[in-house]
Amino acid sequence: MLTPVRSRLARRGALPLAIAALLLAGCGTDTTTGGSTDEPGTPVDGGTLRYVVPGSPATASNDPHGGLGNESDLMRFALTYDVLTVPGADGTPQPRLAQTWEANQSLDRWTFHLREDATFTDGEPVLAKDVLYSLTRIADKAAENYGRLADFDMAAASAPDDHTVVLATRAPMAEAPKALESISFVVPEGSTDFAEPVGGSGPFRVTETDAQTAVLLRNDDWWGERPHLDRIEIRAVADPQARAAAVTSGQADVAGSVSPAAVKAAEAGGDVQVVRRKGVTEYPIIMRLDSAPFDDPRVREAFRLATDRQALVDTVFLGYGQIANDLPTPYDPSYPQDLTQRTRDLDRAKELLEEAGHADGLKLTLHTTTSYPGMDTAATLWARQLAEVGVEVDVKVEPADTYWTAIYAKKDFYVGYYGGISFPDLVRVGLLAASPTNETAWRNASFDAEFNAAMGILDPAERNSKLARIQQDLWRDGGYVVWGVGDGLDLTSPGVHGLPDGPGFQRMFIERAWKTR
Amino acid sequence: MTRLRGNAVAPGVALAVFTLALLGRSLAPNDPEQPVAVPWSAPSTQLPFGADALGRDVLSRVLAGGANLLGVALTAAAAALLIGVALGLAAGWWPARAGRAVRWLGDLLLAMPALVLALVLAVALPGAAAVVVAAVLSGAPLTARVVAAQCATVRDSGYLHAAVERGEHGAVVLIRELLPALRGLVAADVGLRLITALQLATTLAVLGFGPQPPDPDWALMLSENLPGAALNPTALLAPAVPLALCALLCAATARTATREREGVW
Repeated sequence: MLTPVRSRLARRGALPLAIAALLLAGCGTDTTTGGSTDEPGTPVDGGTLRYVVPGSPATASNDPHGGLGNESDLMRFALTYDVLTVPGADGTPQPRLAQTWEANQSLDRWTFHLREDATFTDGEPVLAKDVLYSLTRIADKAAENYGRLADFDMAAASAPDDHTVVLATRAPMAEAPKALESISFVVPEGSTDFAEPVGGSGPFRVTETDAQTAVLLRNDDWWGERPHLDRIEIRAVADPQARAAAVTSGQADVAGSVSPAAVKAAEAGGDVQVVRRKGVTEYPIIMRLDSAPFDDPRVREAFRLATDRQALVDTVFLGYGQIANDLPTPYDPSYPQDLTQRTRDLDRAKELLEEAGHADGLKLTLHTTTSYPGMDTAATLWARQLAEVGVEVDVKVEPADTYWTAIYAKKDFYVGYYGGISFPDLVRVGLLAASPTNETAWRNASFDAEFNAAMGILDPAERNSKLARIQQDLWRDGGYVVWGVGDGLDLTSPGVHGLPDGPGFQRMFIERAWKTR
Repeated sequence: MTRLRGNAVAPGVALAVFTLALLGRSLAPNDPEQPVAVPWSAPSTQLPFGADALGRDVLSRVLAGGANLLGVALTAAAAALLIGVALGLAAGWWPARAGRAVRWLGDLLLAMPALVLALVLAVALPGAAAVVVAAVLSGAPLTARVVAAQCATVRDSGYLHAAVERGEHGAVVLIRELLPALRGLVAADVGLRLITALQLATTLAVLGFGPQPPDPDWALMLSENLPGAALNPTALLAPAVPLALCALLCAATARTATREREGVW
C-alpha cells in the first residue's frame, strides 16, 4: 500500500543523478553479450512493437534539449530526431546525421560533414543552421540538462556551408564525437514551442502522444535503411515490477530496465526472452580519502580484500552481472586489461587492519538507500563480509528522495551508483582536484596532469594506454570498492528480434527491431 | 459457559500471539541475519518460508521480527493510554479548570493527522521515539475525551460522594473509586490505541525510519521482500500475516471489552 508511493519518490530523487551519469557518456566496448534477441532469422516487415519504458507521466516532456528525465521521452526523441553520432557496437561513435568528421591539430576545433539527404517531416532539408541552433539550445539549457555540452564553446561554433559545422571545444577534446552521441537531437532552426512534439528527421514520426503513451509511425522519407516495423507504441511506466508484468501478461512486447528478480521469475515462467546489456549497474562503496579511517591506505586495502565479490554479484544481481576489480569503468576501452584481479584474503585484511592500529576492531556507519534495486541488499551483505575481519559496519538506509542531495558526495562512507559512465567522464566529474563531485576526495596532481596529457592525444590506442596507466594508481590507492557490475536487463516476448544490447544509450535506438508473426 | 469462552478467545489468542512474537527470537531455527540459501529460494522442508533477498531464512526472521515492532507499539499504546486516562480523569473531575484546558489541547492535537505528525517527528527523533510521541499526541486526546465524558456521568454517584465525605483526597478517590468504574472503557480503548500505534510503527518502518538492516522486523521485511514477490511470495506473506493478525486481534479484544461493558452480545 505504501510502497508504490515510496518507489515513486525514490525514482524522482534518483533520476537527476542517474541521467547525469548516463548522459555524461555511457559507453563501453564489451557488446558481445548474447542478448537472446539476435538469433539468426530473416527480418519480417510490418507490425507494431509495444515497448514499456521507465518514465513518469507527471514529468513527461516534448523538449529533446531539456533534462531528459524520462527514458520514455528519450526513446521517442531517439526515434523521431536525428543525432550527429550514435553509439556503435564497439563503443566508438558511428555516423548518423554527421557522415564524417575531423579535428584540427590541437583537437579543439571539430569539423562535422552532414549528410545531404536528410529532411524534416515538413519536407525542409536538415541544414547546418539547424544543427547549430539545436546544439546552442542544448548549451543554453545547461541548468536544466546538467551542462550536457559544457565542454563545447557554442559561441565560437560556425557553419561554413549548408552541410558543414565546425564546433569549438573549451580544451583539447579527443572524444568530442563521443560527447555528441545520442543526445544531439536536431530540430528545425527557430523551434521554440515544445508544448506539442516538434517534427524531426528521424526514422519514425509521432502521430499521437499523451503523458503516458506515444504512438510513432514509420517515416518513409527517412534517409536510412527502411525500418521493419510499421508502428511503435511507447508507454511510460515508472514501476519496474509493472513493466515486467506487462510483458509476461502479453500487454507489451518489450519491458525496458527490469529488476534481476523480475527476470528470474519471468524466466522460470517461460516464454520470454532476456536482453542482457553489460556494464550497466554499479553500486560501489565510496570511502573518502580525507577522513579517518579511510585516510590510511591500509584500511582501504583491507576493506577491498575483505570483500567477497562473487557472493555480492550472486545476491545483489542474482548472477546477472560480473565481478569487478575496484575500478568504476571496467567496460571502458581504456581499462587496463593486465590488471591483477583482487580476490578475498581475510588474513591479509586482518593484518593490514592491525598494522593500521585497528587490531581491536572498527565501528563505522555505511549509508545506503533504495533508489535502485539491491542497493540496500549490497550494503547489508557487504557489512556482514566486513564483520569477518572484525569491522562492525552499521547499515543506515536513507530515504531515497534525499539520498542524492544529502548523502551522495557529502558523507564519507556510503553506497554510490554508476550507470555506465565512461572513464574520461568519470575523471572529469569525480576524480580531478577541481571536479564538482569528487566523492572519494581523490586529489592527485600527477594523476590530473597525466589525464590532461592523455586527453590531448588523438590516436585512441595511445590515449587509452595512457588512461590505463593512471587507472593502475586508482586501483592501488583509490577510495572505491567496486565489487561488481550488473547487467541492464530488458524483457521481451518471444517474437521480438533485433533489439540493441550495446552500452549506454544505444538501447534507445530501436529502429532495427522486428517482430515475427 | 458460551459467554465465558466468547469472552476469552480474542484476548487469549492476542496474548498468545504477542508472547510468541516477543519471545520468537529464541525459537528461530537459524540466525535471522545469516544467509543460508540462494536469494529468494522457494519454501522447502529446510526453509518452510523460503529465503529473502540475501538468502536468509524467512521463518527465523518472522519469529525474530515481531519483538521490536510490538514492543514499540505496546510502549506507545501504554503511554497514550496512561496520559489519556490521567488527563481524562482530571478533566472529568475538575471540568471547569482542567476540563477546558484538556478540551482545547485535544482539539488542537486532533486537527493534525497522526501519520503526518509521525513523519515530521521521525526526521528529528529515532523511529521508535517518533512512534511513541505521535501515538501519544494523537491517541491521548481521544482517550481523555471518552474518559472525561464517562467520568462526568459517574461523578455524582453516591459512592463517590461518600468517599469525598469521608475526607479522602481527590486523587485517591479518582484512582481507588472512579477508575475501577471505567475499567471496561479503558480496556476497550487499549485495543484502539494499540492498533493506531501498530499502524504508525509499521508505516515508519516501511518508509525506512524504523529499524535498519540487517535487523529482522515484520514491517521492514514487507519492503525488503517486495522486489522478490514473484520469486518467493511467502517471504512477503510471512511477515504480513502476523502483522494483520495482531491488528485484527487488537480490534477483536477492543470489541469484546466494549460488549462486556455494555452487556451486548
